[in-house]
Amino acid sequence: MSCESEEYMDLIDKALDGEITAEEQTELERHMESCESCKEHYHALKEIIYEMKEASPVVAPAHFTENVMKKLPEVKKRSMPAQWIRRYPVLTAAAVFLILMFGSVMAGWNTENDFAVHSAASNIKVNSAAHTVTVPKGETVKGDLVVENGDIKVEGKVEGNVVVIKGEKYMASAGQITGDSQEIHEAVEWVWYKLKTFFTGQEQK
Amino acid sequence: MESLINSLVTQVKSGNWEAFEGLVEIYKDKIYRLCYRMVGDRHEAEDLAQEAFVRAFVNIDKYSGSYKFSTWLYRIATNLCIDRLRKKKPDYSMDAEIPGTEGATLYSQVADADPLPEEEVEEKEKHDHLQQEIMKLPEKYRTAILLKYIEDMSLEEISSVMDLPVPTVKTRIHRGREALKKAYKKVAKSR
Repeated sequence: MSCESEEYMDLIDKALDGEITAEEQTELERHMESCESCKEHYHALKEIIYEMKEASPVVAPAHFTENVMKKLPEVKKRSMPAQWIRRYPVLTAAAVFLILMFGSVMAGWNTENDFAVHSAASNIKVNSAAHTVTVPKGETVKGDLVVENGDIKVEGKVEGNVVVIKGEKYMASAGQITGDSQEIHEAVEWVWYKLKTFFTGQEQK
Repeated sequence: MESLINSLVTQVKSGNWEAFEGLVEIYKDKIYRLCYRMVGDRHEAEDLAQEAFVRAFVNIDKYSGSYKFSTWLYRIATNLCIDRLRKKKPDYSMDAEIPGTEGATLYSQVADADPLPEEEVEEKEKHDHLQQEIMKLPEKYRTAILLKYIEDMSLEEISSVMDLPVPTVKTRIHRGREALKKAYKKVAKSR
Protein backbone atom coordinates (compact mmCIF):
# COMPACT_ATOMS: atom_id res chain seq x y z
CA MET A 1 0.00 0.00 0.00
CA SER A 2 2.92 2.37 -0.25
CA CYS A 3 2.73 5.35 -2.53
CA GLU A 4 6.03 6.15 -4.15
CA SER A 5 4.82 9.16 -6.04
CA GLU A 6 7.31 12.01 -5.67
CA GLU A 7 4.65 14.32 -6.95
CA TYR A 8 2.32 13.75 -4.03
CA MET A 9 5.15 13.88 -1.48
CA ASP A 10 5.97 17.34 -2.84
CA LEU A 11 2.35 18.35 -2.58
CA ILE A 12 2.21 17.17 1.03
CA ASP A 13 5.31 19.23 1.82
CA LYS A 14 3.79 22.24 0.13
CA ALA A 15 0.59 21.79 2.09
CA LEU A 16 2.50 21.58 5.38
CA ASP A 17 4.58 24.65 4.50
CA GLY A 18 1.41 26.55 3.62
CA GLU A 19 2.55 27.02 0.04
CA ILE A 20 -0.07 24.92 -1.69
CA THR A 21 -2.44 26.43 -4.26
CA ALA A 22 -6.18 25.77 -4.21
CA GLU A 23 -5.99 23.45 -7.25
CA GLU A 24 -3.10 21.49 -5.79
CA GLN A 25 -5.01 21.14 -2.54
CA THR A 26 -8.00 19.67 -4.39
CA GLU A 27 -5.70 17.34 -6.31
CA LEU A 28 -4.01 16.13 -3.11
CA GLU A 29 -7.33 15.53 -1.39
CA ARG A 30 -8.63 13.56 -4.34
CA HIS A 31 -5.51 11.43 -4.32
CA MET A 32 -5.70 10.77 -0.58
CA GLU A 33 -9.24 9.44 -0.90
CA SER A 34 -7.76 6.49 -2.73
CA CYS A 35 -4.22 6.36 -1.21
CA GLU A 36 -4.04 5.24 2.41
CA SER A 37 -0.25 5.69 2.74
CA CYS A 38 -0.25 9.33 1.62
CA LYS A 39 -3.22 10.02 3.85
CA GLU A 40 -1.47 8.45 6.84
CA HIS A 41 1.75 10.34 6.10
CA TYR A 42 -0.01 13.66 5.74
CA HIS A 43 -2.07 13.30 8.91
CA ALA A 44 0.83 12.08 11.03
CA LEU A 45 2.89 15.11 10.06
CA LYS A 46 -0.05 17.42 10.60
CA GLU A 47 -0.58 16.03 14.07
CA ILE A 48 3.08 16.58 14.99
CA ILE A 49 2.91 20.16 13.81
CA TYR A 50 -0.32 20.68 15.71
CA GLU A 51 1.28 19.24 18.84
CA MET A 52 4.27 21.51 18.46
CA LYS A 53 2.11 24.58 18.08
CA GLU A 54 0.01 23.57 21.07
CA ALA A 55 3.05 22.78 23.21
CA SER A 56 2.60 24.13 26.74
CA PRO A 57 3.38 27.83 26.75
CA VAL A 58 6.73 28.79 28.16
CA VAL A 59 7.24 32.26 29.61
CA ALA A 60 10.35 33.97 30.86
CA PRO A 61 10.94 33.62 34.63
CA ALA A 62 10.14 36.43 37.07
CA HIS A 63 12.56 39.36 37.26
CA PHE A 64 14.00 38.46 33.88
CA THR A 65 13.99 42.02 32.53
CA GLU A 66 15.28 43.38 35.83
CA ASN A 67 18.20 40.95 35.78
CA VAL A 68 19.12 41.81 32.20
CA MET A 69 18.99 45.54 32.97
CA LYS A 70 21.23 45.04 36.00
CA LYS A 71 23.89 43.52 33.78
CA LEU A 72 23.89 46.37 31.27
CA PRO A 73 25.70 49.22 33.11
CA GLU A 74 28.69 47.00 33.80
CA VAL A 75 28.79 45.91 30.20
CA LYS A 76 28.52 49.50 29.07
CA LYS A 77 31.51 50.53 31.16
CA ARG A 78 33.55 47.62 29.96
CA SER A 79 32.95 48.38 26.31
CA MET A 80 33.13 52.17 26.51
CA PRO A 81 36.61 52.85 25.06
CA ALA A 82 36.08 50.55 22.11
CA GLN A 83 32.69 52.09 21.33
CA TRP A 84 34.09 55.59 21.67
CA ILE A 85 36.85 54.89 19.18
CA ARG A 86 34.39 53.40 16.73
CA ARG A 87 32.04 56.34 17.05
CA TYR A 88 34.58 59.17 16.84
CA PRO A 89 37.46 57.95 14.65
CA VAL A 90 38.63 61.46 13.69
CA LEU A 91 38.69 62.72 17.27
CA THR A 92 40.53 59.61 18.35
CA ALA A 93 43.13 60.05 15.62
CA ALA A 94 43.58 63.70 16.62
CA ALA A 95 44.01 62.77 20.28
CA VAL A 96 46.56 60.10 19.43
CA PHE A 97 48.44 62.58 17.23
CA LEU A 98 48.56 65.20 20.00
CA ILE A 99 49.77 62.69 22.57
CA LEU A 100 52.57 61.48 20.29
CA MET A 101 53.49 65.03 19.36
CA PHE A 102 53.52 66.12 22.99
CA GLY A 103 55.62 63.10 23.88
CA SER A 104 58.26 63.66 21.23
CA VAL A 105 58.52 67.36 22.01
CA MET A 106 58.79 66.57 25.73
CA ALA A 107 61.60 64.18 24.91
CA GLY A 108 63.25 67.07 23.10
CA TRP A 109 63.05 69.23 26.24
CA ASN A 110 64.84 66.61 28.27
CA THR A 111 67.55 65.65 25.80
CA GLU A 112 68.35 68.78 23.78
CA ASN A 113 70.87 70.63 25.90
CA ASP A 114 73.09 71.97 23.10
CA PHE A 115 73.72 75.66 22.85
CA ALA A 116 72.20 77.04 19.65
CA VAL A 117 71.43 80.37 18.13
CA HIS A 118 68.91 80.93 15.37
CA SER A 119 69.20 84.30 13.72
CA ALA A 120 69.48 85.73 10.24
CA ALA A 121 71.70 88.56 11.45
CA SER A 122 75.50 88.44 11.32
CA ASN A 123 76.24 91.36 13.63
CA ILE A 124 75.76 89.45 16.89
CA LYS A 125 78.58 88.15 19.07
CA VAL A 126 78.32 84.47 19.86
CA ASN A 127 80.41 82.99 22.67
CA SER A 128 79.98 79.26 22.39
CA ALA A 129 82.17 78.46 25.39
CA ALA A 130 80.22 80.67 27.79
CA HIS A 131 76.89 79.95 26.09
CA THR A 132 76.16 83.63 25.66
CA VAL A 133 74.97 85.78 22.80
CA THR A 134 75.54 89.49 22.80
CA VAL A 135 73.82 92.14 20.74
CA PRO A 136 76.60 94.77 20.81
CA LYS A 137 75.99 98.36 21.78
CA GLY A 138 75.06 100.51 18.80
CA GLU A 139 74.24 97.52 16.56
CA THR A 140 70.77 96.81 15.19
CA VAL A 141 69.78 93.18 14.66
CA LYS A 142 67.07 92.76 12.09
CA GLY A 143 64.74 89.78 12.36
CA ASP A 144 63.91 87.34 15.17
CA LEU A 145 66.49 85.94 17.55
CA VAL A 146 66.21 82.55 19.22
CA VAL A 147 68.73 81.28 21.78
CA GLU A 148 68.61 77.72 23.10
CA ASN A 149 70.43 76.68 26.27
CA GLY A 150 72.22 79.98 26.65
CA ASP A 151 71.87 83.56 27.82
CA ILE A 152 71.45 86.72 25.82
CA LYS A 153 72.71 90.21 26.59
CA VAL A 154 70.92 92.93 24.70
CA GLU A 155 73.04 96.09 24.63
CA GLY A 156 71.94 97.27 21.19
CA LYS A 157 68.64 97.05 19.38
CA VAL A 158 66.68 94.03 18.11
CA GLU A 159 64.06 94.71 15.49
CA GLY A 160 62.06 91.53 15.94
CA ASN A 161 61.11 88.92 18.55
CA VAL A 162 63.54 87.47 21.08
CA VAL A 163 63.06 83.98 22.51
CA VAL A 164 65.34 82.47 25.15
CA ILE A 165 64.92 78.77 25.85
CA LYS A 166 66.44 77.49 29.09
CA GLY A 167 68.43 80.66 29.54
CA GLU A 168 68.30 84.23 30.83
CA LYS A 169 67.84 87.53 29.07
CA TYR A 170 69.83 90.51 30.28
CA MET A 171 68.79 93.91 29.06
CA ALA A 172 71.29 96.76 29.13
CA SER A 173 69.81 100.17 29.80
CA ALA A 174 70.33 101.10 26.15
CA GLY A 175 69.03 97.73 24.92
CA GLN A 176 65.82 97.67 22.96
CA ILE A 177 63.57 94.95 21.57
CA THR A 178 60.86 96.06 19.20
CA GLY A 179 59.01 92.72 19.04
CA ASP A 180 57.93 90.33 21.79
CA SER A 181 60.45 88.82 24.13
CA GLN A 182 59.98 85.54 25.84
CA GLU A 183 61.94 83.32 28.24
CA ILE A 184 61.06 79.65 28.34
CA HIS A 185 61.94 77.70 31.50
CA GLU A 186 59.15 75.16 31.85
CA ALA A 187 58.61 72.05 29.77
CA VAL A 188 54.96 72.98 29.25
CA GLU A 189 55.90 76.40 27.91
CA TRP A 190 58.42 74.73 25.64
CA VAL A 191 55.86 72.33 24.26
CA TRP A 192 53.45 75.17 23.65
CA TYR A 193 56.14 77.16 21.89
CA LYS A 194 57.14 74.16 19.73
CA LEU A 195 53.56 73.43 18.76
CA LYS A 196 52.95 77.07 17.92
CA THR A 197 56.01 77.31 15.71
CA PHE A 198 55.18 73.95 14.17
CA PHE A 199 51.73 75.06 13.14
CA THR A 200 52.58 78.65 12.14
CA GLY A 201 55.94 77.77 10.62
CA GLN A 202 57.64 80.69 12.35
CA GLU A 203 60.73 78.93 13.60
CA GLN A 204 63.85 80.17 11.88
CA LYS A 205 66.71 77.88 11.08
CA MET B 1 4.56 47.69 16.88
CA GLU B 2 7.40 47.90 14.37
CA SER B 3 7.61 51.66 14.77
CA LEU B 4 7.73 51.34 18.57
CA ILE B 5 10.56 48.83 18.27
CA ASN B 6 12.46 51.01 15.81
CA SER B 7 12.10 54.03 18.04
CA LEU B 8 13.40 52.05 21.05
CA VAL B 9 16.36 50.82 19.02
CA THR B 10 17.17 54.37 17.92
CA GLN B 11 17.01 55.59 21.52
CA VAL B 12 19.36 52.85 22.73
CA LYS B 13 21.76 53.62 19.87
CA SER B 14 21.87 57.29 20.80
CA GLY B 15 22.93 56.41 24.34
CA ASN B 16 19.66 56.08 26.27
CA TRP B 17 20.36 52.62 27.63
CA GLU B 18 17.23 52.54 29.81
CA ALA B 19 15.18 52.33 26.59
CA PHE B 20 16.53 48.81 26.19
CA GLU B 21 14.18 47.70 28.96
CA GLY B 22 11.25 48.07 26.56
CA LEU B 23 12.90 45.78 24.03
CA VAL B 24 13.61 43.14 26.68
CA GLU B 25 9.97 43.27 27.84
CA ILE B 26 8.68 42.80 24.29
CA TYR B 27 10.92 39.86 23.38
CA LYS B 28 11.77 38.12 26.66
CA ASP B 29 9.13 35.36 26.38
CA LYS B 30 9.92 34.56 22.75
CA ILE B 31 13.67 34.46 23.30
CA TYR B 32 13.40 32.51 26.52
CA ARG B 33 11.02 29.99 24.91
CA LEU B 34 13.34 29.50 21.95
CA CYS B 35 16.30 28.93 24.27
CA TYR B 36 14.28 26.51 26.39
CA ARG B 37 13.18 24.50 23.36
CA MET B 38 16.76 24.49 22.09
CA VAL B 39 18.55 23.34 25.26
CA GLY B 40 15.68 21.73 27.21
CA ASP B 41 16.68 23.12 30.60
CA ARG B 42 14.98 26.07 32.28
CA HIS B 43 17.97 27.30 34.21
CA GLU B 44 20.25 27.16 31.23
CA ALA B 45 17.61 28.74 29.04
CA GLU B 46 17.38 31.72 31.38
CA ASP B 47 21.12 32.12 31.34
CA LEU B 48 21.28 31.96 27.54
CA ALA B 49 18.34 34.30 27.02
CA GLN B 50 19.89 36.90 29.32
CA GLU B 51 23.21 36.59 27.54
CA ALA B 52 21.44 37.05 24.19
CA PHE B 53 19.94 40.36 25.34
CA VAL B 54 23.24 41.57 26.80
CA ARG B 55 24.99 40.79 23.52
CA ALA B 56 22.31 42.54 21.53
CA PHE B 57 22.79 45.59 23.74
CA VAL B 58 26.57 45.63 23.40
CA ASN B 59 26.43 45.20 19.64
CA ILE B 60 23.42 47.39 18.96
CA ASP B 61 25.52 49.65 16.72
CA LYS B 62 26.03 46.70 14.39
CA TYR B 63 22.28 46.31 13.87
CA SER B 64 21.71 48.10 10.58
CA GLY B 65 17.92 47.96 10.38
CA SER B 66 17.98 46.30 6.95
CA TYR B 67 15.95 43.43 8.48
CA LYS B 68 13.68 43.16 11.49
CA PHE B 69 15.13 43.63 14.96
CA SER B 70 13.49 40.37 16.05
CA THR B 71 15.33 38.49 13.27
CA TRP B 72 18.62 39.87 14.53
CA LEU B 73 17.78 39.00 18.13
CA TYR B 74 16.72 35.45 17.20
CA ARG B 75 19.98 35.03 15.33
CA ILE B 76 22.02 36.01 18.38
CA ALA B 77 19.99 33.65 20.58
CA THR B 78 20.15 30.63 18.25
CA ASN B 79 23.88 31.05 17.77
CA LEU B 80 24.39 31.17 21.54
CA CYS B 81 22.28 28.05 22.04
CA ILE B 82 24.10 26.15 19.30
CA ASP B 83 27.47 27.15 20.80
CA ARG B 84 26.32 25.96 24.21
CA LEU B 85 25.06 22.64 22.83
CA ARG B 86 28.36 22.03 21.05
CA LYS B 87 30.40 22.73 24.17
CA LYS B 88 28.20 20.47 26.24
CA LYS B 89 28.42 17.60 23.83
CA PRO B 90 30.47 14.61 24.98
CA ASP B 91 32.96 13.13 22.55
CA TYR B 92 30.65 10.27 21.67
CA SER B 93 27.29 11.87 21.30
CA MET B 94 24.01 10.16 20.64
CA ASP B 95 23.14 13.31 18.72
CA ALA B 96 26.05 13.00 16.35
CA GLU B 97 25.16 12.16 12.81
CA ILE B 98 26.25 8.71 11.76
CA PRO B 99 28.85 9.21 9.01
CA GLY B 100 27.47 8.53 5.58
CA THR B 101 23.87 9.13 6.58
CA GLU B 102 21.85 12.28 6.26
CA GLY B 103 20.59 13.18 9.67
CA ALA B 104 20.41 9.70 11.20
CA THR B 105 21.67 9.60 14.79
CA LEU B 106 22.54 6.81 17.16
CA TYR B 107 19.08 7.22 18.66
CA SER B 108 17.60 5.62 15.59
CA GLN B 109 19.72 2.53 16.37
CA VAL B 110 18.45 2.09 19.91
CA ALA B 111 15.12 0.68 20.93
CA ASP B 112 13.01 3.17 22.84
CA ALA B 113 13.46 1.93 26.39
CA ASP B 114 11.63 4.66 28.25
CA PRO B 115 8.49 3.13 29.71
CA LEU B 116 5.72 5.67 29.64
CA PRO B 117 4.10 6.44 33.01
CA GLU B 118 0.58 5.20 32.61
CA GLU B 119 -1.00 7.50 35.15
CA GLU B 120 0.13 10.71 33.48
CA VAL B 121 -2.34 12.95 31.75
CA GLU B 122 -2.16 11.82 28.17
CA GLU B 123 -2.03 15.25 26.55
CA LYS B 124 0.76 16.57 28.74
CA GLU B 125 2.71 13.43 28.16
CA LYS B 126 2.40 13.90 24.43
CA HIS B 127 3.78 17.45 24.66
CA ASP B 128 6.66 16.46 26.92
CA HIS B 129 7.48 13.57 24.72
CA LEU B 130 7.50 15.83 21.73
CA GLN B 131 9.94 18.17 23.51
CA GLN B 132 12.16 15.17 24.19
CA GLU B 133 12.00 14.18 20.55
CA ILE B 134 12.83 17.73 19.50
CA MET B 135 15.81 17.60 21.84
CA LYS B 136 17.03 14.50 20.05
CA LEU B 137 17.08 16.18 16.66
CA PRO B 138 20.49 17.31 15.42
CA GLU B 139 20.76 21.01 16.24
CA LYS B 140 20.59 22.17 12.63
CA TYR B 141 17.20 20.50 12.11
CA ARG B 142 16.06 21.48 15.59
CA THR B 143 16.66 25.19 15.00
CA ALA B 144 14.77 25.19 11.71
CA ILE B 145 11.84 23.18 13.11
CA LEU B 146 11.51 25.39 16.22
CA LEU B 147 11.62 28.64 14.28
CA LYS B 148 9.06 27.31 11.83
CA TYR B 149 6.50 25.71 14.12
CA ILE B 150 6.99 27.21 17.57
CA GLU B 151 7.95 30.74 16.51
CA ASP B 152 5.75 30.64 13.42
CA MET B 153 8.33 32.24 11.15
CA SER B 154 8.24 32.35 7.38
CA LEU B 155 10.91 30.49 5.42
CA GLU B 156 12.44 33.85 4.46
CA GLU B 157 12.71 34.93 8.09
CA ILE B 158 14.26 31.60 9.12
CA SER B 159 16.67 31.95 6.22
CA SER B 160 17.91 35.31 7.54
CA VAL B 161 18.04 34.12 11.17
CA MET B 162 20.06 31.03 10.26
CA ASP B 163 21.98 32.79 7.51
CA LEU B 164 21.16 30.02 5.05
CA PRO B 165 19.46 30.01 1.65
CA VAL B 166 15.70 29.27 1.64
CA PRO B 167 16.03 25.86 -0.10
CA THR B 168 18.45 24.67 2.61
CA VAL B 169 16.02 25.81 5.29
CA LYS B 170 13.24 23.90 3.51
CA THR B 171 15.33 20.75 3.43
CA ARG B 172 16.12 21.02 7.10
CA ILE B 173 12.50 21.51 8.07
CA HIS B 174 11.54 18.59 5.87
CA ARG B 175 14.17 16.27 7.37
CA GLY B 176 13.42 17.39 10.91
CA ARG B 177 9.74 16.74 10.34
CA GLU B 178 10.41 13.25 8.97
CA ALA B 179 12.63 12.42 11.94
CA LEU B 180 9.93 13.57 14.34
CA LYS B 181 7.34 11.53 12.50
CA LYS B 182 9.42 8.38 12.84
CA ALA B 183 10.00 8.97 16.56
CA TYR B 184 6.35 9.79 17.06
CA LYS B 185 5.15 6.65 15.36
CA LYS B 186 7.19 4.61 17.79
CA VAL B 187 5.39 6.27 20.70
CA ALA B 188 2.00 5.71 19.16
CA LYS B 189 2.77 2.01 18.70
CA SER B 190 4.10 1.57 22.23
CA ARG B 191 0.83 2.84 23.69
